[in-house]
Amino acid sequence: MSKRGSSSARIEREKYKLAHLGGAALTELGRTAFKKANYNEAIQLWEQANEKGKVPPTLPNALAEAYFRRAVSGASTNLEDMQKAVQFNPNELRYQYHLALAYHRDSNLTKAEAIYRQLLAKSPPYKRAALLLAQLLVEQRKPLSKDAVWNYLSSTEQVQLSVVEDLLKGKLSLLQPHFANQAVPPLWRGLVALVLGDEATAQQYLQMVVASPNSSPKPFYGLAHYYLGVLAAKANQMEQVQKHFESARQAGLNTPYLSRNIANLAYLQALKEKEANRPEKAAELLNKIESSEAVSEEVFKLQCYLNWHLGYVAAQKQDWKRALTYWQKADSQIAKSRPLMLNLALAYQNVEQYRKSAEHWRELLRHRPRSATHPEAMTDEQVARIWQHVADNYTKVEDYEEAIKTYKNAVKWSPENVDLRFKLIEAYQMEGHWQAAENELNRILEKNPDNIRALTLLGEICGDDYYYSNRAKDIWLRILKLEPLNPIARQQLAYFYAQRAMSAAEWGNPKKALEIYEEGLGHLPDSSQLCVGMGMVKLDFKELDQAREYFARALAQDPDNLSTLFVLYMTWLTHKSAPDVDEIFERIKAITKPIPSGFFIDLIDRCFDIKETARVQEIGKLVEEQYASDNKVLVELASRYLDLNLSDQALVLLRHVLKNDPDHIEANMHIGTLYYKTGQTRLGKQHWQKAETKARKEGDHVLLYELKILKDRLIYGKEPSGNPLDMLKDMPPEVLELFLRDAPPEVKQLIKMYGLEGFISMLGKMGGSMDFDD
Amino acid sequence: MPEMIKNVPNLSGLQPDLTAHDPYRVLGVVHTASQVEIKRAYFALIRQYPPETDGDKFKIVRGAYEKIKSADRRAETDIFLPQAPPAWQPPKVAVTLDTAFQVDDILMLLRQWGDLGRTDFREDFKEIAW
Repeated sequence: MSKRGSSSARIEREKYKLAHLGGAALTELGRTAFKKANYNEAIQLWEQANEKGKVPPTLPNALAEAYFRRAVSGASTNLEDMQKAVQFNPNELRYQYHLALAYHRDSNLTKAEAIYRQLLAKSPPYKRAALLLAQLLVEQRKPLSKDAVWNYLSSTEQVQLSVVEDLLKGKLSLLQPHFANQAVPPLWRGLVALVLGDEATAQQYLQMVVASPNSSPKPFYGLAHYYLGVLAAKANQMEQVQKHFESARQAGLNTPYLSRNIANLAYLQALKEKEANRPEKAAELLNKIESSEAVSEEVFKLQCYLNWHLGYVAAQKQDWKRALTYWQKADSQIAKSRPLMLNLALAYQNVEQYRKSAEHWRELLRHRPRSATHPEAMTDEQVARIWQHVADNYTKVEDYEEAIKTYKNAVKWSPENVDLRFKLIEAYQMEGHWQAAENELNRILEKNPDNIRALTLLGEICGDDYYYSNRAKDIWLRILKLEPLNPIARQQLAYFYAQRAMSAAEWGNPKKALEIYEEGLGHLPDSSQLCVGMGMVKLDFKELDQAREYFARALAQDPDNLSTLFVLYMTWLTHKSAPDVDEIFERIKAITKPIPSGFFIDLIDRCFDIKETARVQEIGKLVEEQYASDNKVLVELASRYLDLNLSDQALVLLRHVLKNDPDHIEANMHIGTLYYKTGQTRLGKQHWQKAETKARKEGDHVLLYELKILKDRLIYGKEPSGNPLDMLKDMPPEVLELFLRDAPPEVKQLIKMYGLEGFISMLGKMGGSMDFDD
Repeated sequence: MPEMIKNVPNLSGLQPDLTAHDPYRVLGVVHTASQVEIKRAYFALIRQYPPETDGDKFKIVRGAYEKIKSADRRAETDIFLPQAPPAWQPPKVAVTLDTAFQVDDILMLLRQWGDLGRTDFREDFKEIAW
């Protein structure tokens, strides 16, 4: 059972146990949780205990305390929990006080006031409620000194609250006496001086507050900084303004006035930078502003303009990444703008975020003006072009379903645009919607039966399906009638006849093959592929001269055609006609353009298969000459020599490679094998070790695995299992992954369904004989 | 820096910029230029850069002109050109700092005073008597 399974079972068991516990036990468990300050669990357990009954009489009080503690433990008091606390213990004045406080914070002032008054009416009065009630009355602008609560306040509280009352009233005559009152704390005196217009005194008192940050609550300190900033603004000392506003924000002051002033200050600074032709600096200043409702629209307008402009400048320099960053910012600052949507679509496209680009193009189309008389109205062609652009972007992320939908939209807006239809057809082909592709091609051909591109695509679609290949043949012939030298039609038609003829020959009907080649050559007399095929059939009929004639025709058409030369070389070799083989080999040697090494290696492999060792050596010599500085090819050739037991030749080659590159992995592996087999085991192991070290360093797991198999066989005599299941089980995971990457889609599907382990076990049940090729 | 080109009629106040990707900027015309203005700018530039002597520059000019030489081509080109922002207009009422005293700040302070602004009430916890 998995860890997850066992843990969920444990939880279920716990739940079952709890459900069967009695009230007393639950109470005790709740006490333990309460002691650990786990009030959630304590409440849950005690509530359950309460429902069961047979609990201590003090449990409701305990529950009330738990609810109270949970209520005040968060960032703000939880009103519901406070109500529960009062419900369980209505006589506890502490809870009533906190309930009123919660209402007060929630701005439910009527309920808060009622409870504060009840608390003050108790005998003895619950005096703690006095200050809060006084604050509440001042907030409601009710006359404080005429209320009974006045007498419960300390003289300091009375002085401070009187200042607040008068500041709220805003009457200068009322404020004057406070100004002289030494009992009024510095912040209030500073604010009174500010309202009274005595800026120097205001500055003096506000400086006193900020000079001792720990002596007043943080918001008081922040507000002092804010008004010092305001005073600096009045004196046009912009650096001081910025310093104080930043300090106010750092102190946690979060008023709309501060936000607006910070934004406006940045705006004024940005404006100066813009005028000084430093738009980047201007945008940087504005981009620091935190978005809030308090920030004026003008600030956003300038911010948006600058970001848009800078994005545009970056785009002109083809710096699309930068352009995108600026335009994204601009986009967040204004309502949907079509030109900006277009810019974003272009930027996303250029930074290769094609899906995003497609979304923005679509958005642009959704928001386009629909009235033809609108100055920004788009023509049908423009709409079609943008839909095509959307689809092109989906194609780039291989989302052909979306590409098909959007190409269809494009076609709807520009039905005469044949190129667009071809794009749709390509998308259909990629999704395997052959019938839809064919229908679309037929639509093109209905209007223009001689459209070569449409005919070619139709020919390819039909040619892919054996049953429609005769139709494909007719299409290729039609194209050749229109355009006799069309290379695709010529190649495909030749391929069609060659395939049919080879199939007939394989089924033991060389006569039929002959007829097919004759028909094909009737249409394409100079096709080297068909001439070679015909020549081979003639060989089967022992008509050597005629065969030679056809082969000569093929070579006359294309003397350097490697596949023709390959086929002819092997054909004459299997027919044991040495002079003909030599002649072909001379032709190969005479080719001046570079020949891919794979051509020679394939030729060597085929010669090896039919045990033509001398020919292997002959070709090998040519390879050694032509690829003298290509270590990869030389090592490959050496491995062929080793397979043929041509140890001396292999050794020369491997030594040559190791001289150029002493750490060459394959060369060390092969030379190690060679030495080991010839009894020089120590030297062999040294080279293997070198190969292993380098392979490990490069993370070449396949070579490491090959080395392991090699060593197992040569040192321990352990032959690798011929059973595919054992082979898969023995493979290191990295090699297995690489191996399965090349597996057919059906096998990959099985692995996806059953997992690798399940797949291997399934192979085991099938006797381990599943061949991927089957 | 755009390359300054002499003897080209400066119809729009812009200078041709052969390094630009925007065909209008290559020809030195505004995006709203008429076909006649575009043609005139083009001919002036190819006189400046004849294909025989200035093949590369001629190609750039020709390439740009090809993209906007007719209304149809322009329609096609315009939809895939980055758009410059609309001109920024200074606000009618200048943005200034607000230096007024805010009564709301007093109310805010009132709400931060005493228990109203307090967050730690652990002192109010009491032990349970069982």
